[in-house]
Amino acid sequence: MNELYLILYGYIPYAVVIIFLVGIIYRMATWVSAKGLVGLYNANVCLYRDGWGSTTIEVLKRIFIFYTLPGRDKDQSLFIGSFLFHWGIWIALIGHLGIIIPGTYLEEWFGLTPSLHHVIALYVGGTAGTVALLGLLILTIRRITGRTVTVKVMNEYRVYIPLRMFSFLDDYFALAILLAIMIFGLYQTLGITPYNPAYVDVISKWMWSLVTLHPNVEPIMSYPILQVHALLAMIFIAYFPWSKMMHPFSFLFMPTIARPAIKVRVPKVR
Amino acid sequence: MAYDKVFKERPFKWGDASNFMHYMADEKLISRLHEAIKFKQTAITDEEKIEYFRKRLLEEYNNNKNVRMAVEVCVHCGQCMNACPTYITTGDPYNSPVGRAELIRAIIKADKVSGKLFGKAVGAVKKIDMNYIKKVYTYYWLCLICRRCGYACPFGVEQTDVTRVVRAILYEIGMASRFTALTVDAHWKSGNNMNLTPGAVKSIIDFVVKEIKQEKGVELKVKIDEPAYALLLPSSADYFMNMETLKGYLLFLYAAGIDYTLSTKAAEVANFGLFLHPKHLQGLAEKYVNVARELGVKLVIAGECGHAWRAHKNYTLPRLKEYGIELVHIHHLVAQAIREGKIKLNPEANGDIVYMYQDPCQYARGGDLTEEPRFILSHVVKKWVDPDHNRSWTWCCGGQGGNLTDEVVPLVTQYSRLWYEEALKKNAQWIVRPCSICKAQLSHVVPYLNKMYGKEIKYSGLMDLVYRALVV
Repeated sequence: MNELYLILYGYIPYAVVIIFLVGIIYRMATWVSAKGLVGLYNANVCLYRDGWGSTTIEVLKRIFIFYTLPGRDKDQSLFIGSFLFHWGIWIALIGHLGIIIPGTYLEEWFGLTPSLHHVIALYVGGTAGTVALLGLLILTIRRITGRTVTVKVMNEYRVYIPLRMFSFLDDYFALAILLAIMIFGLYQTLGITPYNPAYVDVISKWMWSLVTLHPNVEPIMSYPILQVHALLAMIFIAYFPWSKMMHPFSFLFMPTIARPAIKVRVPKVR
Repeated sequence: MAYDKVFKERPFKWGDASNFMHYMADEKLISRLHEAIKFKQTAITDEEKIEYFRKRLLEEYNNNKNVRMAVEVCVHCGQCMNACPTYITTGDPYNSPVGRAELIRAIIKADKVSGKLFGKAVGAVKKIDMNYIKKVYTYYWLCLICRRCGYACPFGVEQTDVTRVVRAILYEIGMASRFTALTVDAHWKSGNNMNLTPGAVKSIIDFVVKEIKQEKGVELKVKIDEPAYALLLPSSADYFMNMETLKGYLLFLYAAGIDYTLSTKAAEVANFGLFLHPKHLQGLAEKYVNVARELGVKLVIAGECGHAWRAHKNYTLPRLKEYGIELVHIHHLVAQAIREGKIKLNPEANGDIVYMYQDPCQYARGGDLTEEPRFILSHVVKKWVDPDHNRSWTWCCGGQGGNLTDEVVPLVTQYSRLWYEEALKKNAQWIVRPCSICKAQLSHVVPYLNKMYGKEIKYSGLMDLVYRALVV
């Protein structure tokens, strides 16, 4: 039994990290090596974005404020769902750094006392996780029920988006596994109380043993929820590079937005 | 009215656009086009065509960045569907970016491990036959290539480039829209879409020069096929359908003192190769490069035409630069001349009409040409308004991407309701769309839309208004 734990939580995490990194590099390499633009030299779709500065701003705006998402005709469910989910996840992921590094080092290096760490984990982490879960629920409901958006011109065009018609196993798998990871993660985070602060310290011992290449699974053996959360996360991380989850990286390569347009130079005519 | 018969034969049905398949080019026409780009069609039987389509699709998926990323990155959020005029106005899910994409993704998916393992559950198609290919043909030729999906998509996934790739493969198995194929064929043969002969070009210019003399009192000398500083490329439709636009070019260039020539070898600005096949796109663009080099010009001036501007800006311009030749749009020069005080304009000449500026889609999404026309319009009319959906959110006229063809008029009339209603909403009386395809499309559908809505909307290009306002 102990060997199984050691393989699952002591060795497989390394394989997962390797699959994740190699997979991402491989996928990005396939994007880089596909050079054609269907006969053109440039496929930019944005207005007056012909410098690297404006192109970078365009990409950052799309990543961080989702500015095209409400659309001209305001599909707020997609905007709100995506905004809440992504920002919640990002904050929660940053928070995970605090469970990789043991509490003693956190205090020594960053002056973060265990009690303060627990408070941050509970309130900031808990809020971020809840927000992300809410966002993902909005997106899931939207996908299952479809969505009607009103395009207002002079008349109103009610446009039904049949999301279920174009959603497949891979779309649902990503949603399901993310929902499960978040529910189990939140269960633990919101379980932090002044009387039960243990899990942060427990998990960091395990995580730090992995970081220092001396895997020790003992600390987590009596925490089944944590084990399920970690197992699902490993499945997700290994699945990530081979799926549409790669979409955040696409911003760096997408020829329509991440590449400056060809500049037109208007000469002094004669 | 002109298209009553088509409206009767091909009535529009909400939720199903499948009866609007473009007529296909015949074998003779296709083989002439193949010759022009030195392509040998190897797939002859249905089985060969199906297999060829599948293989080439996978090849293009591996080679084209925008196609590969479109297929791999789309998360099916549906954001493009409520942005796509073809879906908004028809309600047919396959007549939408995601719908079109899925027809193709299903084939690519079938070749992947997940497709082999899970089949239909991950959207992979089990078997493709000619009916499937015909469905692909139908919906891919109904795409406007207006790029609204590419702008609306949070990741910038542009279905219209997938459309162009799929059309190219269909062409390689002998399936192409007759209208576009005829247009490209005419361009290869005569240097313009309308088969204008050099004699016709010269006669029309003589006629236009006379009209300008009568209307404006100045005698223009227009160089044709002579060395000059600049080469002007009007749309071939400007030679007889949009003559006021043509007059606008000629009078402006005269007033601004620009030394230019027309070419009978390139009495055109268009490049319908953009809608058909990259090799036709590049081959026709190279004709422009050659003409510019032969005439020894330093500048090429593109006339009012949206798709042409996209093709020129993103292919011809870098090629011309290799020979030290610049390329601009006529609007760049007019805006520059106004700023420098080189020309005098009288907005009174365009009356008390409320104009609406509607961006041609290919100027606004990747063309970087939205502010110059507005700047010009502010100087040539007394009152103009913007539609609510403007610049990057502009609506396509409904005729882009080869959809000017007669057999789809009842369908594209639906596409056109969006921009038409923008004008009604702002009480505009006159729509300004400085694009040759827009103007042709408006000539098809405005009579029907005016009847449908009980209004009298008029339209023109922008250089038409410049012509009237120019004081010489």
